[in-house]
Amino acid sequence: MTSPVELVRAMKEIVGEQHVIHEQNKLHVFSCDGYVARQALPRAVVSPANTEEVAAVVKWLHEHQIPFLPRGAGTGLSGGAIALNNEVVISLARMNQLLSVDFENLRAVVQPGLVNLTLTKQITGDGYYYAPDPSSQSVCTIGGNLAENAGGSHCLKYGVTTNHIVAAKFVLPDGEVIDVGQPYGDAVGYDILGLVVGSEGTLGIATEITVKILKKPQAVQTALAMFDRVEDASNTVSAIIGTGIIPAAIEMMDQLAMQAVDKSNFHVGYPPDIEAVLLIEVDGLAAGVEEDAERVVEICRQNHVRTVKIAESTDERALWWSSRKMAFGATGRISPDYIVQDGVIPRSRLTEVLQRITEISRESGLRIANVFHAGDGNLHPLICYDSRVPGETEKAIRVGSEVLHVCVDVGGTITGEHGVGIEKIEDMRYQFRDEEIEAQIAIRRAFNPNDLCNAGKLIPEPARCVEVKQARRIIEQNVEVFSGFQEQTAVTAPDSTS
Amino acid sequence: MAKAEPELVQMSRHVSAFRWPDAPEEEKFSVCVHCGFCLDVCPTYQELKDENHSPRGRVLLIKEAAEGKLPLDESVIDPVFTCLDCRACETVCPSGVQVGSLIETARGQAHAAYPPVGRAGTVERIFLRGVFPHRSRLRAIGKFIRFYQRSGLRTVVRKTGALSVLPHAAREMEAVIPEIAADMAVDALPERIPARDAKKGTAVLFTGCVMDVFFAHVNEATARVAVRNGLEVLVPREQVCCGALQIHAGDREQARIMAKTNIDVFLATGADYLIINAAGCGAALKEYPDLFRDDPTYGQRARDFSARVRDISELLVEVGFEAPKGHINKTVTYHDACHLCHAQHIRSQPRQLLRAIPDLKLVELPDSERCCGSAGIYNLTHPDMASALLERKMDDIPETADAVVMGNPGCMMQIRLGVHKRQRDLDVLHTVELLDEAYQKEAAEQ
Amino acid sequence: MLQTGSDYPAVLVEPADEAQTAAVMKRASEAGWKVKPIGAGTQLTGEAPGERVHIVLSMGRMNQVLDFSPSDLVVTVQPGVTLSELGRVLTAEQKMLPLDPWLPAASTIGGIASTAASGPRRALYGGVRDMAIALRVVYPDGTVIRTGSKVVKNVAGYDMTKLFVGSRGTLGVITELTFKLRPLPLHRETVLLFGSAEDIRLMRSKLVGSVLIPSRAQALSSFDEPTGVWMLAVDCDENERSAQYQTEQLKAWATEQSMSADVLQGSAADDWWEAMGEQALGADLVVRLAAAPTNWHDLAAKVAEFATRYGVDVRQSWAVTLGIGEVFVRGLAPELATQIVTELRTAATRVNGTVVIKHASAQVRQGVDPFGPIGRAGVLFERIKHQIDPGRTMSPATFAGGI
Repeated sequence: MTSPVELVRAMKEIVGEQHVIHEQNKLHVFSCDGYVARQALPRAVVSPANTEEVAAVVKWLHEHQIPFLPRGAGTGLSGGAIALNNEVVISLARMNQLLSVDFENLRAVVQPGLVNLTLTKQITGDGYYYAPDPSSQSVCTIGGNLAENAGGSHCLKYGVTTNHIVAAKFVLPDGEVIDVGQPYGDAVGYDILGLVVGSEGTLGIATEITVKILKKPQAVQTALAMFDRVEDASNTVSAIIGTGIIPAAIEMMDQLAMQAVDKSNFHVGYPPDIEAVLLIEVDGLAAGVEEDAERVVEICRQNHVRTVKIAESTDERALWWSSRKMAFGATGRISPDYIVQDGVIPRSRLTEVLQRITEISRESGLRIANVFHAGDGNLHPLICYDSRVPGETEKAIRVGSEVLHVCVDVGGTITGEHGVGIEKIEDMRYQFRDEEIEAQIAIRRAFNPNDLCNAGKLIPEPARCVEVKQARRIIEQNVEVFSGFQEQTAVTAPDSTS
Repeated sequence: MAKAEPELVQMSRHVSAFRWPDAPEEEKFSVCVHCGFCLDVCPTYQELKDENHSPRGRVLLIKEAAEGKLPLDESVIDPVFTCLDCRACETVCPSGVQVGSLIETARGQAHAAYPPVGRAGTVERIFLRGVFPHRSRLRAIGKFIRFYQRSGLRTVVRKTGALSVLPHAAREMEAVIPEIAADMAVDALPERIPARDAKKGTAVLFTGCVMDVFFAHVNEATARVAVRNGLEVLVPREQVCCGALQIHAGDREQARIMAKTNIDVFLATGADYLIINAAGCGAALKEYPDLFRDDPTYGQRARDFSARVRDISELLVEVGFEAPKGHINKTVTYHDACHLCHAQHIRSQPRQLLRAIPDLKLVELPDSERCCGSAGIYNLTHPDMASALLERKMDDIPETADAVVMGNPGCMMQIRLGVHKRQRDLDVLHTVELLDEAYQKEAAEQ
Repeated sequence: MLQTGSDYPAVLVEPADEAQTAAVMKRASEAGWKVKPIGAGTQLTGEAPGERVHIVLSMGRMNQVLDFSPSDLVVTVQPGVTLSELGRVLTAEQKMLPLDPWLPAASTIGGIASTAASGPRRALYGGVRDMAIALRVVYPDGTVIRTGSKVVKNVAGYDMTKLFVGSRGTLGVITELTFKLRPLPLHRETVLLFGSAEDIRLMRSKLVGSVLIPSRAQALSSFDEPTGVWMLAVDCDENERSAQYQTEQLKAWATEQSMSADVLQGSAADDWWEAMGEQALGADLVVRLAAAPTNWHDLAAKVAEFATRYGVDVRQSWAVTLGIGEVFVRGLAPELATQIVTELRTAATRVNGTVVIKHASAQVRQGVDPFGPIGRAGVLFERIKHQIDPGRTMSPATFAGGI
C-alpha cells in the first residue's frame, strides 16, 4: 500500500508544490461536477502543466495501482468527473493554451484545458471559429468536450465534437504517450481516435488536441417563432428539414422553460400563453441566406405560428441565444432542484414523445420543462423537484429514467451529448444487451486493463456478472442452508437415480 | 437508549460553522446548481485554476460550512477573502446566485470568529475603523498628504527610505497618489447648489471618502454636470463614508453604524435622489437593506434609501442629459468597474455619455468587464493577485487610447499605478471629468 | 474468379441473412477456419496479401434497403446494397448519402464502410465515419452486437461504429448499416477552372481564405498531360443564388489569374463528375496520399516528376481543401510501382503525410506494405484485435501493422 504522504510527495515532485491539493477540507469543491446527486472526495487533485507531466503522473499512479481520473472545468452533467473510487483527480485546467493555429490548413492545436469559446475568441479576429458549441461553451474545455463528445446547438448542420477533432496526443492509463488520429486524411489502421472521443475519460487522457477550424459564415439570419401549440412547432421543424434546408440550428423551448429563462438576466419577454418557441438559424453565403430565411418564415406561417421575427441586430440575436443557452441553470429560478435529461429520438416522433413526457409529468406530479435541439431530436427534459421533500429526489431520478426509456422505445438513445457517466449507467442496460456491454468492456480492457482510469463510469458491470456476484453473496450469507442443501442432495441423489 | 448516541453525533455534525447573527442565508446558497458557468469569468480562478478559488467553489464552501460539514477554518476563510467581490459571476449566473452577498456575510462570520491580525488587521485598525468612518480624520489625512506632497517632505521621505515601513503594495501606491486638493469637496462645495434651467429634481451628492480625499475635483465635476442638467444638488456635511470597505472586510458591525448615519442624513433632506460617482460605494448604498435583514426599523428605512440611490451616469440618462457642444479631440477607452457593470448592471449609460461628446472617439477595451485588481483594499491585502490582474488589464488597454475612463476611484488608483509602472502616456479619468470638460469648453467656445 | 488477396483455394459462402452469417462465424471460429468477408470485391487489391483464408463470406445477397425515413434523414441498409442502388432509392425522396468514392458501380455499401472509402464530397460532408451512426456486427464467435443508435446524436457508450468503419473486415462482419443523410441539393453547379498547377495553388489559397462553401474542390490532371494543364472543379450545394455568387467570385478570380473557366449546371454537372469517376478506373496502380492541404502542390509536383523520370502515364486528383490526393498510374512494371510507392512515402512522411495503396497487383503489395508505418497508436491495434478476435479468425494479416 502506498501511503498518502508518499503519494503527495511523488506528485509534488512531478508537478510542483503549489499544484497538488491534498488537504481534506480543500478537496470538497472537487467532490462533484455539474451533476450533484452523487459526491465523493478525491484523494488529491494534481494539476500538471504539459504532456510530460501528465504522463509522469499517470505512470506513477499506474505503477502504484492508484486510481485516477481527468477533470476539465467540471461542468459535465452526468458525473463523469466524480471520484467514486477516491481517485487522484488530474486537473487539466492549467493546460489551457492555444498551441498553434494554421489558417491555410484550417487546423488548431490546443491543450485540453482551453475553454471552448476562448478558442473561437482567439481566432475570430481572423474570421474563423470552432464549430461545436455546447451551451456551457463559455466555460467548458475542449478536453472535456473530447471526453464527452459534446454536441451543441449548431451540430445539426456542422456535426458534433467527434466530427471536429482530427488528432490528439493521448496518455494511455499506463503512462505511455501515443498519437491518435491524423491531422489530414485518415489515420492508418483502426480509428482509435473515434473510440477515444466520447470515452468519458475511461481510456486515457488527451493532452494535445488538433481540431478543425472553420471560416465564419458570411451571413447569419436568426428567426424566433412563437407557437400556440407544441404540435405546430414540431411540424414546423419537420417541414423545414423536408424542404431541403439544413438550418445551422433549430432549438425549441416549451412554456415552463420560457418562464424560467425569462426570470434570468437574459429576459426576452415570451408571451406567457404560448406553448413553444423555436429559435431557427440559417447561415451561409449572404446571397442565399436571405432566401432560406424567407422560406423558414413562410413554413412557420404555414404551420400556424403566432409571431415570427428575424433578429434585427447582433445584440438581439445574442440575447435570444443567451436566453436559450442559460436555460438549464435558469431552471434554478423556478425550482429548488432539477435533473436534466438528454434523450434523442427520431425527429418525426417529436410530438408523440412530448405527449408521453407530459403524461409522465402528470402521473408523477413533477413539473418537466423541455428545452431541446429540435433539429436533431435531442431532448433535454428538465425534471423539477425539491430535494427537501422526502422521497422526491428518488422520484425525480425514476421519472428521468422513464423519460429515457420512452426515447429508447421509439428507436432513440439515452444520451445525445451529456454522456452516461454515473447518472445513466443503469439506463445503459435498457439500451444495450449484455453482449453489447461486454463488447464495450473488451474495448476498455484493451486500453485500460487494470481499470484504474475513471472506473465505474460509462459502462455498467454486465448483468451476468452482477447475477454471479449476487448468487455468490447469497451463498455466502446462507452458507449453512446451502451446505445443508448440498448434503441433502448428496444423500438423496443416489436414491433418485435408483 | 442505544439510539441516542448516533443522533447526537449526527446533530453535532450538522451544527453550522456560522455561529453569529447575519450569517449567509440558505435560500441564497441553495440556489446554486453547480453548473460552473461562473468559473471562467472569475479573475481569481483564471489566475489560480483552483476551484476553491472560484465562485462555485466558494458558494459550496459556504454551504458546507453552514451545514456543519466544514469548520470555519483556513479552507473556507482563505477562498472567501481571496474573492475580489467583483460580482462578474453574478452577471453570468443563470440561476441568480447572489455571490457578493454570500461572500460579504461569510466574511462577517470570519470577522466575528477571528478578529483580523497581521496585515489585514493593521489595515482594518488604522483605516477601516480608525479613519474612514470619521470625517475629521479623513480630512486630516488629506491635509497631511497634501502637506507631504507640497512641502518637499515627499522627497525627503523617499530619499531616507522611511517608506519602507509600509507594505510593498502601499509603497507602490504612494507613488501614484494624485495631487491632493486644498479642500475635500464636501467642505468646498456649498450645501445647496440650485439647478440650472428647469428643475428635474433634488439630488444629494454622496461625496465618499477615497473619492473626496484623492479625487475631490471629480466630486466637484459631478456636482457641476448634475446642476447643468437640471438637478438641484445638496451636499450635507454630516454624511460619512459608505462602509463598503468595511463590508468587504467583513466588519459589518462598523458598516451598520455608518449606514445608519447616512440613511438618517439623507432621508432628513427629503431629496429625490442620492447621486454617487464611485461604483463600489454605489453598490454598497444600493445594498444597505442587506445589512439590516434582522432590523425591521432600519430595514424599511434602508429600502427607502436604496431605492433612490443612482450612479451619476445612470441618473443623467434617466432624467435626460443635454449633449455637450464642447469638443474633445481624444481617443479614449472605457473600463467597466466591477461594481458598476456586475453589481449595478450599468454598462451602456457611461458609454452613452462619452459618445455624446463631440469628437471624442471611444474604442472598446477587450474584456473590459474583468476586474483590474483594485477591489477596495484587495490590492493591499492580496498584492500578488491584484498585481497579476493589473498587468492583464494594462495589456488590454489599446495602444491608440489617450485616456482610460472609468467610474470608480479604486480602479482609478489601481490603473494609475499600472500606468506609472509601465511609464505609459495615458490619462486615467472619471467619466464625469470628460463630460464636465466638454460642458466647460462649450461655455468657453460660445 | 474472385480476387481474395490470397493464392489459396477458399470456399465462397453467401449468407442470406444475419442469422446465417452468425452461424457461419460461430462454426468457423470453433473449427479454427479463417474467414474473409467481402462485398463486390472491388477493393481487395488494396490490402496486404494476408494469410490463407478458408471461407470467403460474400455479403452480396444481403442487399436490401431495410428502412428509409426521409423525414428523419436516416437510412438503414444491408451491406450488399450497391452505392448506385442506394442512390436511386434516396434520390426518389430528394435525399442523398454524400459518399462518392471513385469505385466501380458494383461496389457495395458494406465494402465502402469497411474501407472508409471517400470521394470529393468529403470536402463538405466528411467521410464514412461522419455519416455512419449505427451498425450491426457479427463478432468472430457468432455474437451479434449493435453499435451506436439510429438517431443522429448519440454518446451512449463507446463509439464502436467508428472502430468497425475502416477496419477492413479484420474485426467482425458488418450485417447492417445506418447512415444519416442530407437533402439532395436543389441546385447543382460546378465551375471548372483551367491552368497550371501554380494557378491552381493560388486559386486554392483564395478559396480556403474566402467565405465560399465548396462542396467539392478537386484539382485534376489528365493522363495525356501529366505535367501541363490542370483543372480545378468547384461545386456548390447551396441554393441557386448562393451558387451564382460563388460562381461569379470564382470566375472573377479566374480572370485575375488569366485562367479560363467553364460552368456546368444540373445534370450536366452530375454527368461530368460521373465521367471523372469512370476515368479513375483501369489504372495499374492507385495510391492515396494525404498531407496538409498546403503541401498538395509540392507532392503533386513530385508525382509529376516521377512520371517524367520513369516514363509512365499518371493522372492525379487532389481534394485541395482536404489535402487528400489520388494518383492513378498506367503502364508500369511491378518493381517500378514498388519504387514509386516507396519514394512517395518518403516524400509524404517528410511533411507528416501518409501514402496508402488503393489498388495494385499482388506482386506490388508483396514488395511494399500497402499501408505503411502505423505510428505509436499501433500498440493498441494488436490489443483491440486480441480482445475482439483472439483466434485471429477475421481476414488475418491483411491490414495495417500486420493485423
